[in-house]
Amino acid sequence: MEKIYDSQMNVHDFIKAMFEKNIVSGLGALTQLPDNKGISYSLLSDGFDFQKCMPFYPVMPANAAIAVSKLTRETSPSSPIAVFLRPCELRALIELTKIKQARLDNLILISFDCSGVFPFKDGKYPTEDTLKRYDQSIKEAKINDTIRQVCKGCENYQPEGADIAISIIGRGVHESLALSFATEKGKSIQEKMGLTASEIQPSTIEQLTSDKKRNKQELFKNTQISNLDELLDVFDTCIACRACSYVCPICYCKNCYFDSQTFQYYPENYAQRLNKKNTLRLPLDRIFFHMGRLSHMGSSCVACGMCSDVCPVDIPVSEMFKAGGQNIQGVFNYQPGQNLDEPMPLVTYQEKELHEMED
Amino acid sequence: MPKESTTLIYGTNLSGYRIAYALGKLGYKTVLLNRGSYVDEIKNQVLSQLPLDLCWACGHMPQRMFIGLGAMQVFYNSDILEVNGSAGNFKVKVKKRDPYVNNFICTECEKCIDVCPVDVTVDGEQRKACYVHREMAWENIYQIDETHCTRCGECEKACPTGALKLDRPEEIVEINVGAIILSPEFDEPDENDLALFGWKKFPNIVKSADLARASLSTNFTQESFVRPSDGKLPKQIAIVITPQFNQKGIEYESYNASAQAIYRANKIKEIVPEIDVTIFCREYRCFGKGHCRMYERAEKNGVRVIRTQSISIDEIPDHNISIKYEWGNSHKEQNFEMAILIFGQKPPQQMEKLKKICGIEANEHGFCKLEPFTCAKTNVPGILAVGEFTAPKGNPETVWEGYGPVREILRHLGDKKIEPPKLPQLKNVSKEIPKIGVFICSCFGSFNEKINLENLANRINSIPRVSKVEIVEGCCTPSTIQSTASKIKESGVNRVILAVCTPLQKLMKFRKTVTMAGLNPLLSEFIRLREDVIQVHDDPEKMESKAFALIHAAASKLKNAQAAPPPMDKMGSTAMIIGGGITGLEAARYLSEMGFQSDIVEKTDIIGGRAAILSTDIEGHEFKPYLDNLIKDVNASKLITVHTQTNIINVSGYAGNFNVSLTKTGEDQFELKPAIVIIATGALENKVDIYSYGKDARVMTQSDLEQKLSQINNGHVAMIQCVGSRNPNRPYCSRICCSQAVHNALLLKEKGVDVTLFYRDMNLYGFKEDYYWQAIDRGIKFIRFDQHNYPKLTGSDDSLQISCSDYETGDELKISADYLILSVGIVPDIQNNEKLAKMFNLNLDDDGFYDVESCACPYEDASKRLMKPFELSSNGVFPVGLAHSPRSLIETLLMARQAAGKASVVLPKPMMPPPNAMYVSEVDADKCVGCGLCVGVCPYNAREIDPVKKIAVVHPFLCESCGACVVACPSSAAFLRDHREEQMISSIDALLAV
Repeated sequence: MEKIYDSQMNVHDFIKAMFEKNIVSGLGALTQLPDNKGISYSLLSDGFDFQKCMPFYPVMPANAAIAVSKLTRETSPSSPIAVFLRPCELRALIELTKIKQARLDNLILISFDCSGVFPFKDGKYPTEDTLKRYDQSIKEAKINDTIRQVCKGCENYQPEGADIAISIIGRGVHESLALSFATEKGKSIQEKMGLTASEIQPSTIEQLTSDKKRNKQELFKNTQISNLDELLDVFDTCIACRACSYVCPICYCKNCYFDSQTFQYYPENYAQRLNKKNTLRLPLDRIFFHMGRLSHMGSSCVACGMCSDVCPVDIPVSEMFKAGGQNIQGVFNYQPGQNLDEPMPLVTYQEKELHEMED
Repeated sequence: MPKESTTLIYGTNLSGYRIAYALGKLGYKTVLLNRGSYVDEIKNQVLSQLPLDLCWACGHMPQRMFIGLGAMQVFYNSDILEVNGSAGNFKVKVKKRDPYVNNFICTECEKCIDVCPVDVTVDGEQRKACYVHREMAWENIYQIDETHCTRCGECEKACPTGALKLDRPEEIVEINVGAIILSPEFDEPDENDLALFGWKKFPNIVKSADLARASLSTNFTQESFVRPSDGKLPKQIAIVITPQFNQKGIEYESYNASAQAIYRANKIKEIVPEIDVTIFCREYRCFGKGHCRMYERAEKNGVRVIRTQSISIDEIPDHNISIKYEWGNSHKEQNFEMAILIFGQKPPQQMEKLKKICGIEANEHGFCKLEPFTCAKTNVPGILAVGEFTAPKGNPETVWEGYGPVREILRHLGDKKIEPPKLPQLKNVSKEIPKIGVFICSCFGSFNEKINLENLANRINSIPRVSKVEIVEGCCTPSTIQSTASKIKESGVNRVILAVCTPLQKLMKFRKTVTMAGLNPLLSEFIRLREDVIQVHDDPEKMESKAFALIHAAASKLKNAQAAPPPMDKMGSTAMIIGGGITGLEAARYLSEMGFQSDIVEKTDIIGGRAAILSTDIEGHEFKPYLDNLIKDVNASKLITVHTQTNIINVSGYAGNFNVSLTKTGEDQFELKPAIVIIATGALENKVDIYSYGKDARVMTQSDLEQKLSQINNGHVAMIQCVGSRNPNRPYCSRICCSQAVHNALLLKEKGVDVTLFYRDMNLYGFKEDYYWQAIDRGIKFIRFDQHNYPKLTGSDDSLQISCSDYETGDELKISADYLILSVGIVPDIQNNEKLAKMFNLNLDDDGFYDVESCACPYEDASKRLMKPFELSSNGVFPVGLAHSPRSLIETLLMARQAAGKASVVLPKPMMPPPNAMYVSEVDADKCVGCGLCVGVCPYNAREIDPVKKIAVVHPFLCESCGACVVACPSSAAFLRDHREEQMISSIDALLAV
C-alpha cells in the first residue's frame, strides 16, 4: 500500500500548483461550460480559471478515455499533460494503449476513488440536492442509490495504476486532497511539489466493497440471460442505432465490422433466408450485432456504463455486458486495464488451452 | 560455334528432376530421358528408400508445369544411344517411343477401359488390357498391357480426345545439348542379391520398401504388416539391415538404412505395442539429423537392437523364420513370425553402358567416379553425374545435388533462354455489373450418361446474375480449351464458372481457358463435377441438387470477386554470408561466379575458419590447396566483400529485403541490405573433462593428436569413440569422428604403432566402410562397448591403464597404452546460434543446430519439406554446413553450393509474387485502425504497423494465408485475397440454402 499524504490543498490549488511548478502544460478534466450550460471533458491550459474545473463532478458525458485516445493516438504530446480520469476511464485508456490507440508518454494520469456517476439521460444534470446527498454518501463511504446501475455494483472503484491517486471516500470532496504516488512519474511529481510530510490513514472501505459486491450479484441476477428467448426479449426493442458502440471506449474501430461490406447483402440473400422463415425482421443482424460486439470487446469491457446511458430504448446494455465481459475475462484470467504489460487474451494463443470450452 | 542452351538429363533420379527444375526456373530448357513407359516406372531413391508413408506428388508437379511452359521435354521408353561432340556442343542420339496415352491430352474419362474387350488377371488384380496403373503416381497413368492387348483398336476409336494411339513407333532423334546430366536411378537388390536373406524363397520375408509402397494410399496401418503367408498379424518381427551382412560389393548401405530400421520398428510398436520387434545390424549408423533421437524413442518403445557380426536366416515350420547370429564366442538363435529386410543400393547397372557411350569412369565400387571436391563433375567436361549414380546417398544430399551443380552446368550452356508465354490482354471488368457464365463440361459426352446436364443447366439459369449457361465438350485439350474460351468470349460474361473435374491436375488448363477468354482467373471458379458429384452419388436427383448447390455457392462467391493484380515485392540481388569459414567462402565464390554480389561477415580477423588446421581426410582429400585456392578466389573477386572482425547487431526485413546493421571493431556501424542470407557460422569441438583430459598430456582429442602425429612413432595408442556424445545430454552423432579416428589409426599403424579402438557403433558410412576392413586387415583392434558401460581409465603411471567390458563376450579387458585419444565430436555454438536464430526468426533443433525446412533431414519430414517447390521456403535464410548439423568438410561444400544454387534462382528476379499470391493476406487501409492485434497473432511475422501511416501492412512473402489476422481483426480490415468475407459468407449462405 502506498503512503497517503495530506496535500493541504484543495483540487484547484493543486491544479494551479502543477502549472506553477511547470509539472504540466495542459490539463484534461471535467469542466463547467461557459454560462453554466453544463459540464464537459475539456482540455485546459495555464491561465484558465481553474475554479470552473470540476474533476469529481458525478456525471460522465462521455468516457474520457476516448478523448485522451484522440489526443494522443498520432503522437505523444510534446510537453506533459495531466488528465483526470475515473478508474474505469483509466482502465479503458490502458486497454486503448495496448492496442495502439493512445500513448501514455508525457501524460500524467490522475485518478481518484470513485463513488459512481449519475445517469446522464436527456442532458439532465443532478440537482443541488442530489449532489449534496452524493457528497454525504462519499463522506460516509456509502453507495448513493441513484447512481448508474453498473456504478452501484462496481468493485473496481480504486484508482489503480494512476500516477497520482486522490483519496476521497471517507473524507469528502471538500477536504484537502489526500494524495498517493504509486509510479515513478508520480513520485517525481511528489518530489517537485514537496509533498513528503503529514501522512493520512486510509479510510475503512471493507463495508463499501462488500455492499458493492452484493449489488453486483443482484445486478447480474436481474439481467441474466439464460436462453435464446430471453435474449430475443431483452433486445426486442433495439432500433439498431449503434449508439452503444459509438460511445463505447473499447469499440475503437474506424468503421464497425457490422457496417462493413460483409453484411451488405444482395436481394437473393434475403430471398434465401426468407425461404426458410417466411418473415424477416429488418434490418438484419440486429441482435447479431450485439453478440458480435460482445465477442469483440467483452474481454476488455471496463463496465463504465456509457452504453446504457445512451440507449434510447433503455436496454440494460452495460449491465449485461458487464456480466458477459466478466465471464469472458474470467476464462482468460484477464483484468482489463490493470496492467499495461499484460497482453490481451486474443494475442496470447496457447496450443493447449480452453479444452473445458469444447463440447 | 555458339554453345547450346539445352541440357540433357538421362534418368529419373531426384537430383535430375531437381536440376530440370532449377534450370527451368533460370530459363533453360531440359530434355529428360525416361527409360520407362511412365513417370515412376523406374524407381529412384525416394521411391526405394521408403518409408515415406505419404505421396510425393509435389516432387513431380513442377515437372508438369515446366513441360506446360515449354521449358522441359520428357521422352518415354527412351535411351541414350550415342554421344558426339564436346562440352557446349554435344550431339546426342536418343531413341524414344511415346506412351500409348498422352497424359497431357487424356481427360481420364475411362472410355478406353470401358470398351476394352480383354479381361485379364495380373498379380491378383482383375482388369482390362487397357487399365490405370495402380502404383502410386502423381496422376492416373493409363496404360496398355502389351502382352494381353489384341490391338483391336476399340480404345483408340473410343478416345474422345485422340490422347490414345496404338501406333507409337520407336523413333531415333538427334538432339543438340550443351551439357549432359547422368542421373540414373536407384538399383534395388534383386532375388539373387538377397539370397542370403531368403527373400522370395520364404513368404514371410518382405522388403520394407515393398511394405511402404503397398501402404502409400492407406498409410502404414495394422493391415500393412500382416504375414503374406496367412494374413495374420505376426507376434515377433525381425528387421534386418541387409547391406551390413551381405557379401562385399553386392549392395551398399545408404544414408538412412539404419534410421529406416528404427523408423519401421517404431511405427510397428506404436501401432501394435504387443509385437516384439528386434533389429539385427552390425552397426547402428544414426548420423542423420534426429536419427539418434529416433533410436532413443525405440528403446522406450521396447524395440530390441542386436549388434552382431553375422546372421543366417532360415524357414522353420508354419512359415516362421529362424535367425541364427553370432554373439560373443557363441551362437544364438531366435524365431520370428516375419522378417522385414532393409536393403541397400546396388552399383548402378547403367554404368557399363554409360562408360562406353559417354567416356566416363567408374570407381572401384562400380559407381560413377567424380572429380575430388566437386559434387557432380565427371572426368568428361560437360558431362555431370548426380544422385545415387555416384554413391549410396541420402535423400537430402540427392536433392541438394539438384542445385549444387547448376553453376557447373551453366558454364557449358549458351545464353538462349526460354521465355514464359505472354499472357493475353485481360479485360478490365471492375466497372461492370457481375455477369456470370456457367460452362458445364460434358467430358466429351460422358457426363450426360450419368447426370442430366440439360436439367442442371435450366436450374442454373435461375441463379441471380448468371447470364449464360452452356454445356461444353471440355476445356482440357488444345481444341476444347480454344473452343470453350471463344464461347466464354462470345457470351460477354465477366465471371466464369467451369463445372469440370479436379483442378489438381488440370488447374493450369482451366486457368488457361479463362485467360484465353480475356478474363483474369481470379474471376473464375472451378467446380469438380466429376469428383464431387458424379463419382460419389448414384441418385441422379442428388447429383443434380449437389451440382446446383456447388454452382450456386460458386456464383455467390464470384459476384463479389475482384481481379486485383497479385501483390509483388521487390527482390534485392545481393547475398550476405555469415561466417568466413570454408562453407561461407564456397557459397560466396559460387554466387560470384553466377554474377551475384555478396558480403562475407566474419567475426574473427581471418577467413578460412577451422578448415585451415585440417590436412587430409580418410578418403585422401587434401584440404589445404583447396582452401588456399578458395581464399585466393574470394580475395580476387570484385563481387565479394569480406568484412572481418564484424558482428551483426540487428536484423530487420524479410526475404528479398533484409536490413542488417553491423559493427566492425574500431569503426562506425554500417548497414547491409541483402536479399538472402546464408548462415555458415560453423560449430565447435566438444570440450570434455573426463579421462583426465587436460590433466594428463597423454590424453588428447583426435584433433590434438593430428597436431602431434609426427611425434608418435611407436608404442600403443588407445582411442575411445562417442566421448560425451550419443547420450541423453547430446543425443546425436557427430558423423565425422569415426572416419577421423580410423584415418588417424591407419596413419599410426603405418608407423608401427599399435592401436586399439573402443567404440559403440562404427559409423563409416558409404564407401568409407572400406577403411574399416582395411583397419581390421592391418591389425587395428576394435572393441565394442555398451553405451552404459564406457571404458575406464584405471591407472596412469608409466602407462595409461584402460579397462573395458566387451559388449558381446562380457569379458573384462585391461589394456595399457601410451596415449589415450578421445573422439569428442562437434557441438553447436549455442550462444551464437540462439542469437542469430532470434534475429532471423529461425528455429533451432533440439540439439541446438539450425532447423530449417529446406534442409530438413529426418526423411519423414524431409519428403514434405525438401520438395517444396519454392526457393524461399526457408524465407531467404539458408543455414548451411556445421551450423545446420555435423558433417564432413566435403559434405558442407555441397550444402554451400545448394544454398548458393537456390539463391541464384531467385536473386536475378527484380520483382516476385509471393508463393501464395492468390490468397495472401491484405489490409483495407480505410478500415484499419492500426491496433496491432493482427501483428500479435500472426505466426509468421508477416504483418507490422507502418510507423508513418499507423496502419497494418503485410509482407506478402512471409504470409502463409493462415487467416489468423482475419479472425483477430475486429474491423474486418484484414482479409485474404480472393477469400474476402463478403465472398465466403455469401457462398456459405448459398450452400446452406439447399
